[in-house]
Amino acid sequence: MSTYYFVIVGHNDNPIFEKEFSTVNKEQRKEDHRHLSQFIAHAALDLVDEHKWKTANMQLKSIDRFNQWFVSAFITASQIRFIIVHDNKNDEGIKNFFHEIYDTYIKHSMNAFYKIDTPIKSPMFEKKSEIFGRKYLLS
Amino acid sequence: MIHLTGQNYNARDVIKNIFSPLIGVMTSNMADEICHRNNLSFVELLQPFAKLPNDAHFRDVSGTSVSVRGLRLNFCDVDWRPPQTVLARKMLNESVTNAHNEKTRLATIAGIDLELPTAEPWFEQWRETFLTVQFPAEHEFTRHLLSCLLVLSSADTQIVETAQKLTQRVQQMQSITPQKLPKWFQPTEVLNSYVVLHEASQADLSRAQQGFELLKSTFGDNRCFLVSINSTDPNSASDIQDYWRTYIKRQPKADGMTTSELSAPKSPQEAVSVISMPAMQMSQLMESQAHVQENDLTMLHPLSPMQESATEAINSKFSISSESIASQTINPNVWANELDVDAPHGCCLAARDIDNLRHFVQDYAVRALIPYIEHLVVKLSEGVTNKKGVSKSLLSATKRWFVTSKPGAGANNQNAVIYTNESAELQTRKLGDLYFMFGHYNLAFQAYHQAKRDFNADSAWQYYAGALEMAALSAFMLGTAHSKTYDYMEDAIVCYLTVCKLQQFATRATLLSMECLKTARLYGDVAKQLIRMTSEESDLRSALLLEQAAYCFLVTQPPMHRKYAFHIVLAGNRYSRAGQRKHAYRCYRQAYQVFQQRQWSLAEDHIQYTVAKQAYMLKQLEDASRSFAHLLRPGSLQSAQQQSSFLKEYIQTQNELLKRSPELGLLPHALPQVVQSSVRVLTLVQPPSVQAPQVPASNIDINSNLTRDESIWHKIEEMLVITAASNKPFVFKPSRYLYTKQQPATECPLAVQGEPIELAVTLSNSVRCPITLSEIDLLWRLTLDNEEVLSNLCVYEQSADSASKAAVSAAIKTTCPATLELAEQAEHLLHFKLTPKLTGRLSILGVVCRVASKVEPAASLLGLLQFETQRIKPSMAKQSSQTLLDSRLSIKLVPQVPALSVSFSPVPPELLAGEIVPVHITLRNLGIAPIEEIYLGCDNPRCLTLFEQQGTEMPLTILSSLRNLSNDKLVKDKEIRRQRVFRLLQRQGHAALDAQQGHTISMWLQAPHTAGPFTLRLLFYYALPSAVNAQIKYRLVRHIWHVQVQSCLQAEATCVVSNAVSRELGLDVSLRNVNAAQLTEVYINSMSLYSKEYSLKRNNLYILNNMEVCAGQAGDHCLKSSKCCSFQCRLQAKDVQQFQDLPTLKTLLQTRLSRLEIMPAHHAQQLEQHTPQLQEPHSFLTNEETFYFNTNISTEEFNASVATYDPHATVAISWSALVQKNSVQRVATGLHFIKLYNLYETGSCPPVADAMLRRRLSTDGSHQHEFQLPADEGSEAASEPLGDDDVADFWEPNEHYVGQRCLLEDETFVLSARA
Repeated sequence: MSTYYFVIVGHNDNPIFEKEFSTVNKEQRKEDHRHLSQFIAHAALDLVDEHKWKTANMQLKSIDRFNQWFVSAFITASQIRFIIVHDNKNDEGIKNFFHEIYDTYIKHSMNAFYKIDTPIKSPMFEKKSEIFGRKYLLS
Repeated sequence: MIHLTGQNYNARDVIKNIFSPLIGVMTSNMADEICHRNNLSFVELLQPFAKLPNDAHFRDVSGTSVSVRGLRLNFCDVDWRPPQTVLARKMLNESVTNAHNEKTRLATIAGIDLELPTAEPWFEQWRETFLTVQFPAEHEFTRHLLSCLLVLSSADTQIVETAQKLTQRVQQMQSITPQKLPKWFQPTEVLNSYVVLHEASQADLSRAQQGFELLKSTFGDNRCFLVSINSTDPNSASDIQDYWRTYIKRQPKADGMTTSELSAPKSPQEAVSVISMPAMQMSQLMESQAHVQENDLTMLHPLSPMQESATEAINSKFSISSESIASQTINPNVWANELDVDAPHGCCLAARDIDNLRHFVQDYAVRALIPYIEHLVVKLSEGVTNKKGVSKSLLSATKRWFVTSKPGAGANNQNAVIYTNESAELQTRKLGDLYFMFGHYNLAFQAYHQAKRDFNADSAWQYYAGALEMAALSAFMLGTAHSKTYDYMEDAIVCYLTVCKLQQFATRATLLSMECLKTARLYGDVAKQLIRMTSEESDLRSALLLEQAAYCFLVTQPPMHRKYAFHIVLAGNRYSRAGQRKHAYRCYRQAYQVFQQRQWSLAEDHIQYTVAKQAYMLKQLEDASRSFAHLLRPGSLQSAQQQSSFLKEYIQTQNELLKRSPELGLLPHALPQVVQSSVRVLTLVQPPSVQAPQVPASNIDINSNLTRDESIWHKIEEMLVITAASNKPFVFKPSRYLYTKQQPATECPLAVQGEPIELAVTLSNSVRCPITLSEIDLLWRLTLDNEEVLSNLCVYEQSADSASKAAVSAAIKTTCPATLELAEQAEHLLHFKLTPKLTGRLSILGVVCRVASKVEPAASLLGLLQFETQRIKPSMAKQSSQTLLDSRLSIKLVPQVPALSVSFSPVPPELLAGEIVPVHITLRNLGIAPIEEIYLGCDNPRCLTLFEQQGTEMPLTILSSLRNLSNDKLVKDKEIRRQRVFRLLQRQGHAALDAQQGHTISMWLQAPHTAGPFTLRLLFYYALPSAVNAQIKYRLVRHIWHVQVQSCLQAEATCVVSNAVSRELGLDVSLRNVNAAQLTEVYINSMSLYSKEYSLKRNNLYILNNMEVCAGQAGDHCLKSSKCCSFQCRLQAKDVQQFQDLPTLKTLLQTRLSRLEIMPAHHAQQLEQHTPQLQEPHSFLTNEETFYFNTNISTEEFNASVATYDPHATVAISWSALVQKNSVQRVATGLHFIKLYNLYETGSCPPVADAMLRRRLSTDGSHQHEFQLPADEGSEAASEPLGDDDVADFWEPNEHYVGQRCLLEDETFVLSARA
């Protein structure tokens, strides 16, 4: 029973990639939290921006919380923010997930046809994140 | 009364006012009457003047005089009771509902413009009410009555008796044990003072003095006060200002209904419906706390320790409906409703009286209150010092010194100790409270600090928290606040909250802490504390605190606007659950300022949905429908079910809005979207006035893409225009009829009155549920020539009368599909046809339609889909920087002009190569004026001939066979035009077509000899009478045939020496049916030779190969599919006719042609009548013999091609064919032409690739100057060896014909032998 909401946030605070991972039955509660996850992730940006200069790490563990939800974040060298809203602790898995996604993101961003800060619509990216999500977050 | 609002108090003022000394007031009836003359009670009367005008001096225990600055006394009726829970709730609710602040200020944070309210009076009002309705508690004394005022009237004759009666009552109140409300600070010795009110206008002061003296002698000098008021007559106009307005809170009497209508939900059910979304329940947001709610039911409200009936509180807790509130009894003394709300206050008071009141307050404080307080302080400090160290028990003493206990550490979180009033701990606390109330914060802090340690040791947590709270406040007031004292406050709140479970006190402490921390600019901590106080217990409180927290996030360094956005959303959610619609609406709108255009799609949807819902409930339908429209935007991530419910609500909202304000007329639709770039306008539409078999001219289709084609048309048009203009100087500008995104209209399109205009537009449905459109129409505005404006907008307005509606609908007729169904996320192209009946300027504004969800067709909405004026891309406009606007939708209507209708007899869509099809062109003048001249232009003149080709001039190529043209002065362009432009219906002295007249012209069309798609374009030009209209000089009709050409016959011919002895020339012809269809039968009817010097020998036809010829349906000799045959015929030289002068084309052709029948079909003769005879000038032989110049040929090339003549003979094979297609049989006839240049050179039709190459090689060689091909074999002049040489020359490239030739000679030998 764990849910993860993963979002990549661009420089203008705009989400450029969103994905949900959940062990919960899809029909059951898919819709309910989706907007709330967005609210939480967006609100956490303030704390991410505050903390990003205070540490040398790229990953910021459990930076914020709201009720039962935790927020973990990862900041790329180009200040793109990866954020995960999750409801159980899984630091190691999240760390691995972030690093794999970072790798994928870098490759994607090097595509000459991709403009930074625009939504990522690549099916490859989608597929890879799905794989990493299943591997590190849901297992 | 606590007073915190409306005066811009700073944090210190606020705290001072909250903890001002409480003075009880009891009035006699007569005194009441005096006050009521001013529409005020005595307590109310004193409110504006409760603050001491001058400093007072207060001596502490050590005898040091402390000056008390701006002391405020809090007067309170002794009969006042804090309201019951339900009523308190209602009051809190209303304090928030009734407070508005529409003024906003603009703050720009991180590039986002935020509109924030300048102040939050709803919070201040709520805070004041919240603190007011609190019950006094056991563990603190600031809310206990310090002293009592007994108010009497000077008019009372038995003033002493009344005073004694009142005293008795008060003393009874004070002596009750256990204590009931009101609570007294020191019940054993309360300071009771007597106030005599004297009405100056009613009686003489001296009489009052008498009673007053009597009173003084009874109760003591310092306890009695005389105040003279009401010195003016109530009827005379009062000149003093209304001091009381801001201080007095009374419930508006009749307002109850309107306010509840505006804001509070009428029933709990409604309250739920406001906040819940169909699929996403907002309550989920707080789901984690939902379980708390269950426990909550069983929890007694901590606000009401004196609640008589606990069950009632529980029952009523969740029913906040106004009905149940109304049934509650309201203490009339306190929430004085009987006094008129709106009447002015203090109408009997003169300035003198106001001074008297001010003076009284000062006098009372200095003369009575402060000495009493000094006395109390001394007494309490003595008590404290005396009892110090004498602990109640050994246990607590040891505990005190050795155990540092923490709240919540022990299992029991109840107060372990019950203190008596005389206990040292409570005395310390009382002492602290006194010092604090009278502004001696230093000693207050010491006292509280001591008390805190004592309470902690005793594990008396509620007392402990109270002492901590006050200690922190003392430090703040003293100005020595630091992180430790802030921690005191923090600990106090946590203790109240977790150990004592006293939400109310925790909230109060948080409110106080907020003031302190804000002053210290610790906004982050404020937000943290405020957010902690949000709970399921009270939505209203949570909402207010969340909102305050949200604002705190904005003033932190750096500002946290995203946290702000989240918390303002949470606040909005709580407001909506508390039924505070206006505030919920406001909060969500504020949040949207952060979220808009950030692609947080679902969050945005949630905000918009709530905004829409709240706006709908608040009857702000325009805002509601705008938000609903936003939810239906393209690219939304919502599910189909969700979207269809959005659509339903959107339609409902819009309809309600229209019902309420019909003057709005047609509102723009949110759905479907107009694909603005897809708007196409076609101003030239062929009137469909043709009978069935006839095919109207294709003209321009509105959906055609005018890309490459257009330049061809323009070229033809240019040629037509220049021909028609006959050398008049002219700047050619192609006429345009179709306007699209690719072909923008830089000028207004022209359209003719009475002729239809077509318009096409793509509509796209962006949501995931299917919708239907009905009552579709175009909205237009027509500006007549006399500047009168007509529009069919009035048709959709209820106010317009039927006459004008009829007039409007007569002006322009619109036809379009009545209904349209758009599947989910589908696009559909919609066609309109408008026929203007008037002239002027027509602007097409948009599409009117009725939109409904397919699921629920009953709920529909009539609205407008607007067309936007498109910008023309700067690259298209002429290198200017300013953007040009497209004007395709503003059309200029010009008066009627002649209109030419052109139609054709049908042409089969598939033709055989070389097939000739007769076509009848019907021209009809539909206008009322004659058409002067008609021209026809064609892009491929080789493929058509016209029967009445007037003044047929000899083509240049034929002419050049007669004489050398190199010296003629020929103009290239003119010759090109001559080849491609034909004048039609040229009648001397007559117009080409009179009005309403029709005419038919015969024309033949020949399919090209190569298979594949074939297009032929015809452009008809007709000039308009020049005087009628300057804007249109001529008009055009386009027609285009798209034909699929199928290969039919492959013909090859070679000129050979058929008899080496007689040197007779023969012509070998071989034919093959190459049509792919099995059933096609080809008949070879005849062969003709066009030659200057030779003719075909009659009766000399030698069939070389007829093995595959068999009987067919139309004759005995037919070539079935993929069969071939060959034959030879002989040529004879003929006398070269020398013409004296230039012969006509017809005679020239006749002299040069000779003909031979081959294997004619039965109907050959009949068929040939339908095709032009070869010798006719309009035959295709003429076309074949004409060299058509390319339109962009250079002058040099033109001159060269005109000057040279290539001697040749042309073989024409006439054939007919039976074509079977889809069980329909068709007879086709056609001609194949083969040009022969040299002996033994094979010519073929359709040309074979390498034959073409060979031809080119040979023309480059030295044979160019040679005469006709058989001649070089030279029967007459050429010598033998030369001829041999030549023959050898020809043999080389024709190697593979050797075998054939042998066979051929063999056969001829046999045949001739037989003969």
